[in-house]
Order: sequence, then structure tokens, then C-alpha cells
Amino acid sequence: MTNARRLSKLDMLVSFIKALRNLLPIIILISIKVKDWNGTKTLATLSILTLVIIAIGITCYLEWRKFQYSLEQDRLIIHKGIFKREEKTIYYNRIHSVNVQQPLLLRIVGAASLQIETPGGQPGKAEGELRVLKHAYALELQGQLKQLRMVKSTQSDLAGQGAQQAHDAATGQDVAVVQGELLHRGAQSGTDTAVAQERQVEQSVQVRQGVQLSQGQQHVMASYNEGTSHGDGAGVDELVRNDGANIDQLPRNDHASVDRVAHGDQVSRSYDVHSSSSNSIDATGQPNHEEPQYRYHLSFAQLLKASLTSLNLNFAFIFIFGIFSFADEVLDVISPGLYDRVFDQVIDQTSGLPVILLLLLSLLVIGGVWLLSVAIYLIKFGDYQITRSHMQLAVSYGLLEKKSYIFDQNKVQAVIMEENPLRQWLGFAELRVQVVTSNKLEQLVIHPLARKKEIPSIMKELLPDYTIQLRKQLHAPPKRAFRNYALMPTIIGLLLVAGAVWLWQWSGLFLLLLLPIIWAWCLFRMKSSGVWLEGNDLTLRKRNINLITHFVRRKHIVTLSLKSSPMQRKRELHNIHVQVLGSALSYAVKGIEDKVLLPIWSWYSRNGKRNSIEQ
Amino acid sequence: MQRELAHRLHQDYIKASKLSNVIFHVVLLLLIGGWFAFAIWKDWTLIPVWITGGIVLLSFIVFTWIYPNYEYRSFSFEVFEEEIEIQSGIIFRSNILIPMVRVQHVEVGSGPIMRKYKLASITVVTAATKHEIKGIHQEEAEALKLRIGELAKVDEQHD
Repeated sequence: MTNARRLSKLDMLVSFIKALRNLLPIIILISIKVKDWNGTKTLATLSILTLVIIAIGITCYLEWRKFQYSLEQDRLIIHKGIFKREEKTIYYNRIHSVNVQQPLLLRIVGAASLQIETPGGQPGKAEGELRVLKHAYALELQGQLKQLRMVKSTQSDLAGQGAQQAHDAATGQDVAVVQGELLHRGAQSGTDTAVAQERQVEQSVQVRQGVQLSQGQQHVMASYNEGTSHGDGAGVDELVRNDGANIDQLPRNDHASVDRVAHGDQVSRSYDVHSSSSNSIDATGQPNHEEPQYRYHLSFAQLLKASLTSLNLNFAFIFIFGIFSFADEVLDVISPGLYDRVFDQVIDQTSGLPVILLLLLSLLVIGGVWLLSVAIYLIKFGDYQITRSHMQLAVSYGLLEKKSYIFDQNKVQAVIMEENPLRQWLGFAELRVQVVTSNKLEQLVIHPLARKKEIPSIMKELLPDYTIQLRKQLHAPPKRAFRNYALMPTIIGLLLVAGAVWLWQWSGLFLLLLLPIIWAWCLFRMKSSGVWLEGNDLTLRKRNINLITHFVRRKHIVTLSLKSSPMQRKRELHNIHVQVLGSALSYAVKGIEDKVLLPIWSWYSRNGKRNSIEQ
Repeated sequence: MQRELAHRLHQDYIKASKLSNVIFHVVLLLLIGGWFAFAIWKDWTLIPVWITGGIVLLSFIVFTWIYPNYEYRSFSFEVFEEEIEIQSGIIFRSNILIPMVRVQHVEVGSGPIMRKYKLASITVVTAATKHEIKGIHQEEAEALKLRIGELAKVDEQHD
């Protein structure tokens, strides 16, 4: 272990507080009981309690003391454990993402935790976790790991796929410099990366321009060409001009692409695009990796728009259900009989219109829930920012609990676009990516509220390798698939009716009115679903209430399966399930025609391909 | 999907499956018998006992006489050079395609009843999923394990 490091000393404090939090019920219990006890009993209990707390304190100290980690040339090594020592080795090239999180407790003491995510390992747990670090240092380490990862991948890129453009060679040359520099930097520490980043950006603007000019005519020409070919990428400017509130791309005006936006000039833009794509170095030999090529900061107006249209229905339903199931008990505890009294009064006064009252009440509740969901959305996604530099994407958000993720573009397993009905109507969508994290149900938001028309240009900026085609018309399930969509909901609906009849006799039959609604919903679902195959990209779209579109590439599909019931087989239909890394559930679409699915099957099948070549 | 898959489970799998289901259900029925006796002793109502007993008896018949035969008939798989295809499911049929480059490792295991018939099951593990092929002959399972291991060595991602 070269230059082993420890966690911040705050770790002791944090784990101590956490342990005390677990002890809290016992402490409360004792403090309630203590007045009935005699002297010796109290003394004994208190001394035991003190001993326990001291033991916790010592454990916390030892846990901090015995936790060491070090950054080696190609791997991160973690040593931990008081009695059972554990050594964990994580190779940089196996890292899928590096996340910095700040739960409230850590936020208060100015610390953060760093998670290193790799595929495999225990589910629900990051492979490597540095529990408590100073926030600034955690961010710096995150940056360093990102750099080390990138160096690795650049090297393998060069070794493997090789010559992409002329500047690749330049990048390769300086890889060594970058790496050396990093390890060197690793030994030092302490500077706040965020600040450093800003400063560096400022410097690098001039420096890079110098480099660019000195490299002469050929380069400028090349970049000019690149710029024109990226002409449709000009969406960024359009965004800024058309809808100032929409994309607050450059919150800090010292950023390199200022001139890009300000002038909107083709040459200067292309020049900038190019220079920044070759900028893992600059003239001074400084690793100038910090300044992003693309930066998007969610403005408050945008955030508000996003939260107002978020329609967090799941949350609302849970909330309403919670209120209904607990209200009685809670009220009864607070003031016995109050519920009945109020209820009787209300019924007495408004005996004529209880239905209207109920409707009003539920509207009020729904309104309240909606406001609450807006507030929660604001807190969760406040200060949202995403940047891309070279191959790395960095996302950070959260007002109370800060979260920040850095991941490699290559590690994106799928792109997901979700539109709730309101946003669909307004022409907006949320963009997410599937990356490997310890939370298998989580997808990272890369754009909370993107105008659908602008998604191709946004994607070009964020994931240049990942083009997605927004097609209106996919291969939808045919009419004969309706039974397939409607069967289960109808059965559930009929069961509900049966239950209602059992409860309220024949007046329960009014629930039959639900059936047309259910069928309309099923039809809606069916009409919105679909699949589309083009080149190496598979698009799967489905709807429960929100429209969800998955964009998956062939190389990211882990398994593909087709499933069918007897009824479907008779009608030549199948359900398609696509499993990718990092997702607990497979992406599925129901009731697609066989003649659409068979090409997808042979597209994914290696042998199918080979056979067709051989024949 | 369209091709016939060459491999099936071993014939003895039907016997093994029947035997293990018989044991499982006999244990269940014994428990219900105990419950029955207890209910009579304590003068409890016997309705739930009859209902549970009926369900278990039904599942006893289905899973020892009918299900294993159909399971055997509906399950097939084949290991190709670059992928594995598994077809399964009696009523709800599923075809699954596992590329060799996605296979992480292969597990072979067998319980006491399976061992009695010299059977074993193979579990193909990818980074995201697990797929079990249960009830092939032990030697065949070993051979398959080695073969898949060999074929899965190729480690590259291409479009």
C-alpha cells in the first residue's frame, strides 16, 4: 500500500451519532422507568448504559482507525474491519460509476460519502464505500477516480480500436503525463475541486486558444469541417435564443463555450467543439480535464416547470392510502371521540350534500398531495446540474441530500424517456439512463425536463455516441392483441364488482361502470406500445399511465426472451423481454406480432446471423 | 424461436421430480393431519382444514402425476457456439437467448433425490440473470459446464 489514507475524523462522530440513534428507544424507555426505581437499580442501569456508550465510542474509533484505502496505479485498495480484516481491490477499469452522496447528517457536519459502483457484488450495496470524507475532498477524489478511469480507458482505446482522429495520438502522448500528474496530485490533497475547476476553466480558455492557433491551418480546417457536419447540433444555440429559461447552459460565464453561444458563429463554435474534444492536455502540460464540454444547469424556472408537471401519482396514492388507513387511529389517540363528533356534526349540517362534500374533500386532499409532491420534487432535484467532459458524465442534484454521480459514457446501458400524460401533451419528457448502481431500481436522470423536439440535440451533447431516434410510429400491437391487454384488468375489475355486490348488495353493481374506463385504458396502453428495430438500436415503448420508451443497443442486451400464453400463440403474438445490466426488471412490451419479433430475435441471435451468412 | 432445440432433459428427471413432489406433499399432508387431530381435540372448526387439505390433495395429484411429464415435454435447450437458447413453460411458454459473451459462470448442483438418479442441474449465470436447466445426467452436466466455460471465455463487446 503506497500512501494509505484514512477517512475523515468526522467518521467517528457520524458513526457514534448513528449508533446513539439506535440506542435512543432504550434511553427513552429507561428515562421513563427511572423514577419508579430505587437508588441501586438506577445506578446499575446508568453505569451499564455508560459502559455501552463508551464501548460504542471505542468501536467507532477503531473502525475509523482500521479503515484505510489507497489509490494504486491501476486499482483502489480498501482495508477494513476490526477483528475480521477485509481487503478489497477494485480495478479502475471495472468501475461503472462513482457517486458522492450527502445524507442530511453528513451534510450538517460538512462531509459526504463516496460510493464506487461495479457490476456484481452484493445487491443493494456498493462495491466500495468510503463512508465519511470531507465534502470537498470527496469531490476531488471522485474527480481523481474519474481521471484514473479515463486514463485506463483511453489507453485501452488506443491499444484496441485505435485511430479515431488525428488528435487521438496527441491524447495518447499525454496520457502518461496525466497519469503521473494524477498520482502526484493524489499524494497531495485538500483543494476544493469545484473551486479549482472554475479557476482552471478560466485559465484554460486562453491557453487552449493558444494551442489551437499554434497548431495551424490544418487543424482549424479539420475543426471547421467537423463543425459543419455537426451543423444540426446547433440546437444548443437555438435553445438559448428561443427559450432563454429553457436551457441555462452556462450559469458561469467564464466557461469556454461562452463565445459559442454569444456569437452563434459557425467557425468559432466548431473550433471550440474540436479543441475541447482534444483537451485532455494543454500547452502547459497541466491535466486540463476539469472543464466540461457541455454543461447544463437547471434554472429555477425550469425546475418549477418540471415540478409542476411531475404528477407524482404513485406518491399521491400512497399518501392518500396512508391518510385513510391511519386517520382514524391517529385521531382516536389524540382526542378520543373527536372523529365521531365531527363526523356526526358534518353529516348533520350537510345531510343533503355529503357526496359533494366528499368530492370537495378529496379534491382538497389531491391538491394538497400535489403541492407536497411539487415540494418534494423541488427538494430532490434542486440545483440540478449535468456536465460532460470527454467520455465522462457528471450529474449532481439535491437541496437537502446532495447526490452526485460520475459515470463513463460507455457504461450507459440504456436510455429511457418517460412522459407523463401532462408532459406528453405539452411536448416534454424526462430523460434517464440505466447505469450500474447498487440500487437496481434506480435510473439516473440526465435531463429532468427536455423539450421533445430538442432531445436529439441534447443527446448529441450528452452522449455523442448514443444517437436515439424519436419515432412517432413504432410497430404497435395489432388489434387482435386487445384481449391480451384487457384480460387481466377485466378480471380484476369483475372481482372488484363481485366484492362490491357482496358488501352492498345489488347497488354494488354501479362499479360495473368502471369496466368501460378500464377497457379505454387498456386500449390506450395498447395503442401507445410498440417496438422498433433500426441498425443496432432497439426501441421499446410501453405505457402504464406514463409513456416510457427504452432505447437499447444490441451490445448492451444481456438476454432476450419471448414469452407467450396459449391465446397469444393462437394469435401469433408474443411478449418481448429485454434484460440489461443494472436493471432489476426487464424491459417488456406485450402482444407484439410474431412477424415483427422474429427479425428482432434473429438480429440478436449470434447463430441466426452466422447461419444466414453461411447459407 | 423457430429452430428445434436439440437437447432435452433426462428421462429420469420425470421420476426424480415425481419422487420429490411425493415427499413434499406427504410431509404437507402429515402436517395437515396433525392440524386435523389438534382441531378435533380443541374442538375447533374443521372447515379451514378441509379446504387446505383439498387444495394440497389437488396439488398432490397435479404435481406428481401430470406436471412432471409436461414439464419434461415442454423443456428444451441447446448450447450453440455463441449462445444458449432455452425453451420452457407448459402454458406460458418462454424462449430465452443468452449470448456466450454474457455468461459469467456456470454452476452445477444436485440434491439427494437428483443424485439418486445420477442427475444434476446446471445454472447459467449472467451479470444480470440466472437460468436453470434442471435434470440432466451428471456426466452430461459436467461436460456441458466445461463446454460453456470454454465457449464463454471470449470476452469482447461488439455490436
